[in-house]
Amino acid sequence: MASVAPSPRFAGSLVLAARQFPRHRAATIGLVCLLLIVLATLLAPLIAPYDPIQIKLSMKLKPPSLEHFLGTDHFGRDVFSRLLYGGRTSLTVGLLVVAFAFLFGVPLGLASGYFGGRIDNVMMRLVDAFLTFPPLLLAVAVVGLLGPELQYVTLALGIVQAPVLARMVRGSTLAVREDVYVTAARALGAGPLRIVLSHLLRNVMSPIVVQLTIVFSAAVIAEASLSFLGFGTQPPEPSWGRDMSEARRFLNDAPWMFLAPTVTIMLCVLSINFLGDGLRDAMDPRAWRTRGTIDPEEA
Amino acid sequence: MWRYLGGRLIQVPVVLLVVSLMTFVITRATPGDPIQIMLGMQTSPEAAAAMRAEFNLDRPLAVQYGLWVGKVVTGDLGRSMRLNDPVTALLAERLPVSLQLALAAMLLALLVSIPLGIAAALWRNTWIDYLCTGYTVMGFAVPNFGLALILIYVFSIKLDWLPITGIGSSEAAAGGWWTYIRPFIVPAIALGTLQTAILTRLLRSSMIEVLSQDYMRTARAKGLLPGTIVFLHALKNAMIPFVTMVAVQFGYMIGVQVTIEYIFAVPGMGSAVLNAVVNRDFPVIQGFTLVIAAFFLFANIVADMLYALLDPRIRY
Amino acid sequence: MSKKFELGGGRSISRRGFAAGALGTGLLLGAGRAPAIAQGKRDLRVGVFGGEFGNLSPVIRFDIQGGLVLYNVFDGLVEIDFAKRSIEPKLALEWSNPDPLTWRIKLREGVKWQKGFGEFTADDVAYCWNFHLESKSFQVGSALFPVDTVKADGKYVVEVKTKQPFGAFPGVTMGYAGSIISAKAHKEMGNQAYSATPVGSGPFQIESKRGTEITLVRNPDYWRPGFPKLDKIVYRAIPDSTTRLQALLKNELDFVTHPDPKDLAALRKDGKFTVNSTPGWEWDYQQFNLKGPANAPYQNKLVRQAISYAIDREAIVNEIYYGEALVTDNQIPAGYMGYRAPLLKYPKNGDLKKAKELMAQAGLKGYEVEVITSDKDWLRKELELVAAMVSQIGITYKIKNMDMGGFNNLWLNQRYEQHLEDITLVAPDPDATSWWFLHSKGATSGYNNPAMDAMLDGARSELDAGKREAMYHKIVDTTLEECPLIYHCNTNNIQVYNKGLTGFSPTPQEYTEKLDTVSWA
Repeated sequence: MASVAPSPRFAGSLVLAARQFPRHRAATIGLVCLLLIVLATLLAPLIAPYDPIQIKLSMKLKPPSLEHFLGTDHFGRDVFSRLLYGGRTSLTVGLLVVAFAFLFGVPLGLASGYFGGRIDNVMMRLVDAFLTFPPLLLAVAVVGLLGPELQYVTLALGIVQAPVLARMVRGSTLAVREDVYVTAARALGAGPLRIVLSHLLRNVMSPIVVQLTIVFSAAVIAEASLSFLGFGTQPPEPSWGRDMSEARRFLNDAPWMFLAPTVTIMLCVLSINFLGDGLRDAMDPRAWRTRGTIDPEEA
Repeated sequence: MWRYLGGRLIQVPVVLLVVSLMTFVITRATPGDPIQIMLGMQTSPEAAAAMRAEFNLDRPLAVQYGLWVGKVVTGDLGRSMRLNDPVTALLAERLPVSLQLALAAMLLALLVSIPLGIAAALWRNTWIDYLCTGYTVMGFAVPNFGLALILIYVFSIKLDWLPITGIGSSEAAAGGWWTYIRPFIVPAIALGTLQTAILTRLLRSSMIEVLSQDYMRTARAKGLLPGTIVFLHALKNAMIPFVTMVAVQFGYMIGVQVTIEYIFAVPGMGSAVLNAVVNRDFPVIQGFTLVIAAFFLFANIVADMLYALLDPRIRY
Repeated sequence: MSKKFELGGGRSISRRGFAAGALGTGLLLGAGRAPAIAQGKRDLRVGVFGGEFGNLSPVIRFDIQGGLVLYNVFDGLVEIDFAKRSIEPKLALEWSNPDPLTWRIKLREGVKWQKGFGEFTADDVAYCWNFHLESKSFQVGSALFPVDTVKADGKYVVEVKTKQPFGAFPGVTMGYAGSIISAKAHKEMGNQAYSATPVGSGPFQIESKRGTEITLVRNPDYWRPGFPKLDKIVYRAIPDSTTRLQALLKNELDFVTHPDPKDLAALRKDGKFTVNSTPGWEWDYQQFNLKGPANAPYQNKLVRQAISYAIDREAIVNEIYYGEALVTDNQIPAGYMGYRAPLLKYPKNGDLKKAKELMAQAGLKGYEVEVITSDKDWLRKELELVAAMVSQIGITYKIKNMDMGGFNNLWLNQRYEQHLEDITLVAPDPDATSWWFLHSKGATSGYNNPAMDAMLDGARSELDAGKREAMYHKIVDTTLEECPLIYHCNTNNIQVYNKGLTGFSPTPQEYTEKLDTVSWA
């Protein structure tokens, strides 16, 4: 069913979205939280009180104190410093995966959705094939077989996310492809590239942005899972997932070792999710609702 | 409709072919000679050569792939290089366990997500909704192995209510249905939490979507349908995407079980593939990923079929 | 809907559990811990590491967890008495060496194969060893390499001709390759089926095997009267060591191997479980690829010695193994011919001053090198610790953790620079500690020193024990001086089991855990 609502220009919709955004409290908190985390990890060399890889056996397994804000681990390293530096690895992987998914998934989805026909068929079969691959197993296989380097980890996690994004973009593209103004543009002689870029992309942008937040959080968790299984990034660079797995043995004696990265991952993912929610609600006019129980009169 | 089903089914072998080709490429791209890796330091070149010939690893890549596909079509998935058992025998051991775990996790997910999703939709933007959102986002945010460790610590160690290992063991099998199910509980909760989150969110948003549809408003405006019937009608429509998502998630679960299987020593498909990757056991990697992919593919087809059956608007 | 369940012998535990379950949720959940051991319990649940059991046949390569099972299914030709440090007869009663190239083995009579496959005879030994030789199996490389021909001379005598004199024949060939298969069973079942559920002559036979669980039952035809003491053993593969120990604590298992050494102190204090920790015949070591690039800094022997001095071995034992290991700097552990002491040259806490002096002598401020290790997490931690130690003399270890397959690939093809790994010694003979790692033809060796080669080959063929011992002393001294390998410690073999079990004798061999003498008190 083709929508007849006019599509706002993306820039305009950003302004509208920005105005809507603060009404969504959780999203604002999420944004602030995320910014804090990202800032903290970026400024790690300045903020971190200790060297995260310096081993100091005499200080091992100390509980949180004034000296060591989140305590120390089994090698006497400061947990807080490791958290800050570990974030760099995890967030870098997250960002790279998002970039990968965007660069490969969006054009694929757009082309598939716009041109349809055989191109669509072939591309979607390819996407299906990737989607039927168990994601963690694929990551384990790629990293296990090719090596634990950052590029393979990114490749492994990105291969899984790009098809999902492509599928979604294709769906949205199909929905708006028949819009009146698109047909009009075509009638006026605009070529496919122009149509895609100036009309379609704009429309599918908001679900893409939302999906990318999901991709980001999934990538952070997947990286942690890989590190947990022993396939992730290399020591001595700290990594949230690997630190979680090493902290397991000390759960009884030094629970802060486990809780610090776990809670941080949670906060990260929560913030990203709330942010995504807020973005979606802000950019989708139909979702602008007020509080209360279902009252269909209040559209 | 049957034509659509036929069309989808025809695509299955094509997709599986692509999947197996992908797996094949990844495994063959692995640096190093798997035979030497397996036979280790004390073997002779002749023994290595003999094993290589047996597993066709000395033939050109295209030939290897062709031979493998040829065998698969006849139902022969080859033999594990490390364990020497036929891959189909290993599948027969592992698949039921994985299915049972997935089923347990899905049942738990349904038990929680259906009431929670409905409640959140009916009382949206109230504290109930926020609670629900909070819970579901926790489900997304906590990595399942982290959750598993916390659950083990609380339920198996501190409270000592539930066992940690024992899924599929002969002891559990000999002991009656409750002894058999008990080891599944903690891993199923850990595994199913993500699904619970996804399904709750989905049900909530599709309920909201349905309840706000024009025809619902019109019906109510016309005073046609009283409250409960509105609700049931909305639910029935909201269930459509929900049910299909259940099918999709179920198929998907087999693939994501790996970390849970590792922690709880579950003899399922995920840990088999993990071991095979570590040991460069190509036939097992290829055979198992093929089956997991096929499973997911069929789950998707079932989901689409359900969608068509349940939603009268969809006609293929 | 309750299902009718089968009660096997000794299943009282599960019946009680089920009955409690029928009474309500609270009691159901409360029945988490099984009650005390029933009287006269005769089965054992063992948790081993690893994801699944591989081959169980001695004629196809088996791994450590396979060995744990295998050595209860197969009796060997000889047995090691770890206390007396001697090789004792088991299925081979006597052996003699009439001329330097001939060995005659006299077998025990009246030994029966499991499951009715007849009597153990010299034909089985000949068949087994010839099968190894013809299929060029892994044993050919490690234990049967000196063997030229094997034949049966009568029903109970085996005559072996070797290609060169081989003093280590009883320990290595009869020891490591001494698990003999049943010719009849092997021929009838075929190699495949036999590998899955082999037929041996040992105290237990295989009843069933699933991917992660193996069930053994007592061999009714076992030649030794009064053994085994148990009726049934169930082995379960549980990859995670924490899970494995937790399962023991919750009475889901009776016996576990390779627990996390961190938990041992608490277990010992607790007193509910017996903890055995025996220094093992395995070492953690670093190796340099001396066949690698000629201008690599570590090609200089002074640098390698410096590294050895920079290592605080005691800290490794304490931090990584919580004391459950023995510091060592040489390759021959206690119990082997040629053993002198755990530390011969390098002090247990290292000598940082000496290390820096050596680096200065070598004219190096430091260097950067990629060091690989495999997927064992204690080794990965050890490498992190070692990296911190060598950073004090200016050397930066860039750690690369690989999985076993990737590691083996680089290691066996000498495509690494340095690595850190552990190894379990397979045979109770000093040849096994040295030849493979130090001889230029050794597959795992990154070393090429003709003088060393000559010493190793000479020690191999020397038949006089006294002379052999002196030769191994020289080999060790050269190793300590040249440092192609740096040894850190001998890790302990640790077993933790229910206090009600008696009769278990721990051994220094990681893959040997004989359970025939074990019983419930």
